[in-house]
Amino acid sequence: MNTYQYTYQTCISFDNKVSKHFFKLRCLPYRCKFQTIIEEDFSVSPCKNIMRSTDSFGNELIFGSTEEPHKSFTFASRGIVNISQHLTIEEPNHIFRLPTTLTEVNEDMIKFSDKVTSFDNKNIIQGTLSLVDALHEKMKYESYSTTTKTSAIEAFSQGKGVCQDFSHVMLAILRNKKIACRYITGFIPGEGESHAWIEVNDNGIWYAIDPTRKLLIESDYLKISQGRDFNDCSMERGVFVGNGFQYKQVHITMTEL
Amino acid sequence: MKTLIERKDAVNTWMERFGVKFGIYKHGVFHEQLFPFDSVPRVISHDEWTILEKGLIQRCNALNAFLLDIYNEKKIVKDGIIPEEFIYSSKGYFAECEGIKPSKGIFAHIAGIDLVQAKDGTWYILEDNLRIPSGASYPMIARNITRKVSPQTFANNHVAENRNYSDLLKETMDYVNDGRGINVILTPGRYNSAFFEHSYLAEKSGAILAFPGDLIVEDDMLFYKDISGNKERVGAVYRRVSDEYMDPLTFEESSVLGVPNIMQIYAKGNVAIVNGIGNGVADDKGIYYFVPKMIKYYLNEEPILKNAPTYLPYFEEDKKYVLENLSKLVIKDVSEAGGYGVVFGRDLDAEHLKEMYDLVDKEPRRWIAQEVIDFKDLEIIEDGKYVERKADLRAFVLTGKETKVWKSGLTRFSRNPNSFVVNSSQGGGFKDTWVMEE
Repeated sequence: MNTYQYTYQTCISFDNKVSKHFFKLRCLPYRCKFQTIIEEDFSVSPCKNIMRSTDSFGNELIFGSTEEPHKSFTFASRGIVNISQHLTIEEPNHIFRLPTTLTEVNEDMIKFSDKVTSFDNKNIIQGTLSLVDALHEKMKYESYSTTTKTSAIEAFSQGKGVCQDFSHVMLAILRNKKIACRYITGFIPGEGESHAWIEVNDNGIWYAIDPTRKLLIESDYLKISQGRDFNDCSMERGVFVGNGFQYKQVHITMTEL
Repeated sequence: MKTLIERKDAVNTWMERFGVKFGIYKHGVFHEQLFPFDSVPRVISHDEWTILEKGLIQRCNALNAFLLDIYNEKKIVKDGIIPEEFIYSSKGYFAECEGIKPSKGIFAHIAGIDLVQAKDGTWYILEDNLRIPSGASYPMIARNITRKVSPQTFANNHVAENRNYSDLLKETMDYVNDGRGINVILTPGRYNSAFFEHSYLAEKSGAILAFPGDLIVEDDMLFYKDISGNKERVGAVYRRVSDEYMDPLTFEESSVLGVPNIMQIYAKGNVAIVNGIGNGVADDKGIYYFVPKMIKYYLNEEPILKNAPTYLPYFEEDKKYVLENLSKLVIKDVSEAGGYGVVFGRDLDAEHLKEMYDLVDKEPRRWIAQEVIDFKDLEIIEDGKYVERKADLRAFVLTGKETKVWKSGLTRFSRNPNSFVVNSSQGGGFKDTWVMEE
């Protein structure tokens, strides 16, 4: 078990004042056996109407709205969490076996995965890790090479992407083999932006695998949210009345105590 | 009766003055047209109605049990009655609704069940509409006007009252509202095809007609804000906005018709949404096939009303039959509504038949096929003469404390003598539906 302190902050600035800003955030640690929350705080400003709930995937939500005209909008959270190995004993819900628009496969992806493993030996986790290794020969990591709307097929075809795309490609291939798997958003030690990885179900146990860094996750990752793909896990969704461009800055730190 | 028929034009003039219209988009342009009314009513005898009523209540109770189950325990899947991919790949299924138990456990408060009667008198269920079925206001207002134009007709015939639809609606809303606040009807606005109905039902049921932007989520509750900024808590929303547009922070982001974050407080049970979100999984044309099985599974009863004989190409055996008999079947795209995506095999030439064959072969899950039912035609008056036309009946079933069937319904007919499609969006007309008392 490791103890970590994390801080998270997103600041959105607008060219012109906006009013009636509605938001929904997923930026608090996921509640599960391998994560124990020791301390937790969050703030949203400017805003007085703030509410909490969980969504249908069990993710913690902060949501609300503000009618105060503003040019910048900031939300932040911080806390201390004890983390042990990422393992969850739970039968998978059917929906994690079905592709979403972001996690569909094409012929090339099927050919690629069939070459690496047939999952015949029944060792799903070993098979997934071999696929991850092989995937890095097909796709290279390149910042800003995709957007949040890029599908697994698009990322695989262009041969590059970020952590989100490596995760989507793996989910697409695994779901094509009827293996239950899900998308995870969270933090990793250091400083920067959020990270994405996957969880794969093998015989009723969820294992966490990082397709970008090619490893089986132990106890140094902080899980924030889970879902079918990026859309279920987006850390921030908002709609507002006003025009002009918005600029977003995200800053995350995570340090071992 | 004779006076009523003679004064058909008077009735239609009245309707025009009342603004009984529906909107339609043709080639992307909004038109408003009158919904042509035919004065000859469809008459359903008391005995016939008693059976229909029982069957409809049974069906809607099973559909409600199914929705609650599918978004919670999923027993019907675990027990192998319905294959899981049938449910989870349905476009009407929303993972965002997993675990939601709506107020009083009701998902389908207002069901529009479409039926047809065959020549031998048997009624068949054509489809269930559990999202936002429209049309109840038309027979209400038609009755209102026909009673004015020809009061004698109603003095001589013991026709069940149908102007009380709004009372049933209010009763249903009040029950799921459970004293939390006011009732509102949320309309997408003026350019919606059923805007006339939204405003009419709001007026008659005493609900407030809310436009997008009038509703706001605060302190875990829903509020209606009036023009001077006063806020009033809302307990039940009868929404006429589709699921995908109901919450831009949960579903379609670009939607300006919905209420941001309403899903969160709905999931918490702090507001009732009529009809529930995610009902599309139960009125999917593919799930239709399984409704008789649901009735047996949840209610342990034999279905009282029949489905039209239906085949699911998803099952190999059915697929074989469908492909071999394509030219005599009706093929329906499971994801389309409003009479779109309905193809009669006999209308296709060899080339299109081959196209259809390939589509069914390639994407079996997307289609259902049904035997063509020999409809019992109804008489309508055209240019002063009686002619026979295809017609269906949309029965409205409302579920609150009890499940009740409105003693009337929307009878739609095709004005084209060769068409079987009666939807108003395809140019059909309507009749009043008389349910006889005794």
